[in-house]
Amino acid sequence: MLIRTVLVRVARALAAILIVITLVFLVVRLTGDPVRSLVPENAPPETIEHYRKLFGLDAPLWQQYLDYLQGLLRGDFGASYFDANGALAIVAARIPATLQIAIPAFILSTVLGLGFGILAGSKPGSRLGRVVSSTAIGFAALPNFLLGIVLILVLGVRLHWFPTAGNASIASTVMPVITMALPPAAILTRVTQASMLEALSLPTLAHAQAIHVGKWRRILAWALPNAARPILTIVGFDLAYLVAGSAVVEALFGWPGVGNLFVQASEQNDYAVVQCIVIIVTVSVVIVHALTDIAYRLVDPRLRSN
Amino acid sequence: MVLAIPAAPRVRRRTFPTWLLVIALIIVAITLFVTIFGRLIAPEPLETVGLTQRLLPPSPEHLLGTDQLGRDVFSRMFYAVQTSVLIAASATILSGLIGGVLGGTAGWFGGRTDTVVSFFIDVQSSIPAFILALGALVFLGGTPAVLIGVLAIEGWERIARVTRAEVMSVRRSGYVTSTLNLGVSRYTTVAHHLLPALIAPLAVQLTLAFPSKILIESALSFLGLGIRPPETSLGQMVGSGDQYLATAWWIVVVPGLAIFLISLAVGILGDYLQDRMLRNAG
Amino acid sequence: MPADNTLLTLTDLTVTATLPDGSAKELISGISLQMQAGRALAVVGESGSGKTTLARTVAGLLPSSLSVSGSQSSLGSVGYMFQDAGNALNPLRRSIWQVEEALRAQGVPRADRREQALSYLARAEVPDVCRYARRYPHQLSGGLAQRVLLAAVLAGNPSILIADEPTSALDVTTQARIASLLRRLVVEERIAMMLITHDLSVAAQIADDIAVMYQGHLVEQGSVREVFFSPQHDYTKQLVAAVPQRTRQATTNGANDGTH
Repeated sequence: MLIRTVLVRVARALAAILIVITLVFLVVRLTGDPVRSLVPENAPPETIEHYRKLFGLDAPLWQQYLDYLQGLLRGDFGASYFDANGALAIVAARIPATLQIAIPAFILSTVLGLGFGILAGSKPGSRLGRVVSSTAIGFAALPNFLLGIVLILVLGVRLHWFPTAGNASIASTVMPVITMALPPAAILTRVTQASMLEALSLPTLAHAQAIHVGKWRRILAWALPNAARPILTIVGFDLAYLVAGSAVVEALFGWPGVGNLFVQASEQNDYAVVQCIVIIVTVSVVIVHALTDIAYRLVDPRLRSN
Repeated sequence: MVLAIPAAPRVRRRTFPTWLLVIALIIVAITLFVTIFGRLIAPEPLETVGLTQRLLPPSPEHLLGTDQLGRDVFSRMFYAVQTSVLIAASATILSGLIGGVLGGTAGWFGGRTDTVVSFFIDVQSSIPAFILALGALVFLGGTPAVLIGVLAIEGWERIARVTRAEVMSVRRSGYVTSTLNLGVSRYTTVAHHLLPALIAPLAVQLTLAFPSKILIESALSFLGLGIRPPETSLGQMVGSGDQYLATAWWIVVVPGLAIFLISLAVGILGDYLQDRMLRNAG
Repeated sequence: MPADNTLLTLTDLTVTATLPDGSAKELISGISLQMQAGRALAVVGESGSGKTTLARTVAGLLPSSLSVSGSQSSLGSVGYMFQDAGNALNPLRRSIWQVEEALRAQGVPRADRREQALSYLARAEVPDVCRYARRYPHQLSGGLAQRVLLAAVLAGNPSILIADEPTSALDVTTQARIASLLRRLVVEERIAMMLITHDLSVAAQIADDIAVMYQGHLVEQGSVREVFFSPQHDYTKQLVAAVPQRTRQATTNGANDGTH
């Protein structure tokens, strides 16, 4: 039984990756001729043909697809049309910058979300609960670029506390990190609060009280694990969002990360780089999903195959 | 029945302050009005450009100021809201259709169909929709059709899951089984029993799905990949005015605030409806 | 041994709830009773009679929205066994943890918890203790879950133990075993037990005294023998009459009259 579940999950993951690769391949090939953006407007047809052959763009579509798949398996993500380096190398060079804001953002959003969610959830109907809930609803509806804009305006332009662009120093990470962290933190807060409220009204919590377990022990060791499932789902989303969602924030703050690279490469029709990023992001999302699944099982013994 | 008294503190039902609901409804009503009549009642045509009046702060003549091309922001808002909401709404409905049909099929037929469809529902949740959306928009163009299609792909799986669960519970219920056993045609059963039961949960799900569609469309247009000039949307207004942040903040803050308020209002409405529905069911 | 080994005294206990429309409703009214060490009191009545409210009040588990008047004095701590053991136990943790948590709440240092937990499980007559200690609640049968729950409650060293319908969800054989276990606890450990039940025959198996509740009032009190053979109140008569003749004979023949 266990083998079967594992196999199904692996199949699912592979299917996701394959579908995404194919979709990207198709979409990217359907329009946007990179050669035209490379060569000057009035270039003679021979030059264009030459570049076509150079990049293998003259072969039939299905051949390009197979070539591409084979290349992937070899670890070759193709060469960028604009940069001498391979696509993978280009993308890899930008990853540290993205992680520089994405990881602190994830930690911040998880800590804030869990913290406020547990606090508010453990006092049902209280003023604190309502304030937290309303604030969270507000921030969750806030588009992250609006938040970023407001921060830039207030903290950057008016008060000159933090630099508004570039990644020169630690100080310049502050606003991007806050911008990336607050909306997910708000969603996590709401989910945690709701989940904790539900868990606190479980019969087992009454029993815990009856055997004289202390209040915070009840909240953290009895209610929280029983509330864990939806919380883990959201934390999983946030982790997956790390890599996928930095595009907007990076654009706003001029941050030289993977998201920014994606937007630039898209505008230039740089196939290889675009595909490379999409695949990397998909693979990480798939891994995160698998991790979340494992986490569910770790927390709840009823889900384990038996 | 015994008055079962729980030992744990009774969870107070989430009070929906009426004033909050009223404000949300007002915002939604205004939005709907502008969405329906936008183009007809906007003070000035979309293409009006007044290069002598660039970057003017809000004043009696220009209620919300002018942008970098001298266009009246207040007037542009009518078009922007209309575009953004129409796109988000269409995407939501499309998403609902895809999710509803797939989820319903899986729930009704069960067995193999269910396994296959559920597999794809799960696969879908592993796909980073936003990134794909970015890619698709760049290469296929930012036309409304593509935008709607791309937005619809995000989130259909949630609707599919809910529909599947609802359909399954109706399908297995006593009265449906006996109705089918009595020989009533499947079409009648579906039409008279299944569909009415789905209206409430679907309506709630669609309302809850709407805000994220607007938010994503805004983000995409902000990046310059969604709605492009001369058409405008709320996100597009924010994106194009981004560089003038320090000198003419109203260009950006006004549409940004609109996005925020609309998605907040619809979100509150959705929460309220869900609350009501759960209360009626339980 | 002090002559008066009364562990619980309730005088004119009343619990009032405020209804949504503002009016007050008395869930239990004017309850007066006493419980002694080494004796079991069965509180019987139908759904809505207030027996669970009474139990929760004694255990201090009422929600704060209810108001209590009258007086309650008790010696030692009160333990409460919930009706549905499967739901009361924490579904995510093993049996041994359930008992260790109770010990932790009592301040027992970590090093001693495991051993003590195992011994409480043994006292609750969990067979093959080491094996079942590692089981999760969903892997336990009704009777076993009940025993684990009992072990956790006993770990609190209660002098008064309230058992809410401990046998209703069990099959007859397991019922008998749990019933005799509870009886043993009363007699050997000198625990004062309050048994909540709607089933008079179970009451007769375990209890020495019976208190009959009807619509929030205590309508009759007495020893098991008295109540069975000479019920005073109409309602009690109905209850006793409802117990099948042969069962009534059998149980009252073995009735506990405090001598064993």
